[in-house]
Amino acid sequence: MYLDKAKPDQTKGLNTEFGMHCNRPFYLVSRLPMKRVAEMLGGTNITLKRYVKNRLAQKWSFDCVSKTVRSEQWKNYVMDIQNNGNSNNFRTVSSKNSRWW
Amino acid sequence: MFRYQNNFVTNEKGKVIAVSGGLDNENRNIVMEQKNGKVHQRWRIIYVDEYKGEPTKGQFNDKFGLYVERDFYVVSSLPDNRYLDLINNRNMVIKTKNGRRTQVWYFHQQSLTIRTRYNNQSWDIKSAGRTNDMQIWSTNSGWFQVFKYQGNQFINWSNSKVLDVRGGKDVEGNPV
Repeated sequence: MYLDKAKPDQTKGLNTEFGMHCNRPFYLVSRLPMKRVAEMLGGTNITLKRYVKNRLAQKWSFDCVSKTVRSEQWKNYVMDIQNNGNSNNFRTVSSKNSRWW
Repeated sequence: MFRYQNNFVTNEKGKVIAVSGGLDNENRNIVMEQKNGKVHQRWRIIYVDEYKGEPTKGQFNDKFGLYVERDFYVVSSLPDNRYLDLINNRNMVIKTKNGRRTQVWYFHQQSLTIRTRYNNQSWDIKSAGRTNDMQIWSTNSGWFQVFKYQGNQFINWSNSKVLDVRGGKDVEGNPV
């Protein structure tokens, strides 16, 4: 594929395959009654927390190029399943690889 | 890689992200599970620029039926209309109106609890919800401290039990 023929990467708008807008920060809000949100803790685990206004660790965005969900606080960290997907632990990592986990 | 589809955040192996143990508690881990469709596996994506946030002081919280940090009395509908009060500054009872701050309450948005103006502690079912007795206690937002006001009743968010004057007796100092 010649570069001059290649489509540019999507950088905004809804990515219909993944169901998320590109590079548009969002909260991941639980449907449980207290409506807590997913928050990144200390650069690793992701836990359920009460919403706090403007707390960056509670904000996420979808990177349409790498197809990963990244933290808005630590932008080089992305959502990941521990142990190459062999664990049930859901966390963030800085070694982005765009594999299925 | 994760996809957001029909309220689930899923990966290509069919697993979804979920709240560990299905418990709606602060600091609960988020984990991967096989999809079973239960509510602890369901999520909403709310974009920051569309998120309304939570009600602030003076605004009405429609989920809890109470205004944020607007002082109120809790008045029994029993014939003498006694007020919710404290004895020993700890245990909840009904008493005649007396002007003390132990009879003044407010809804605290950050903790989602009802607090006393006396010392800002929260309504609490004793023994972490294992009894029927009500008291005030340091705020921890456990399920046994979260109540909503609906249809003239204060209802625990989790077990749906309501605030009740013991035995229905309209007597001074009767526990709640």
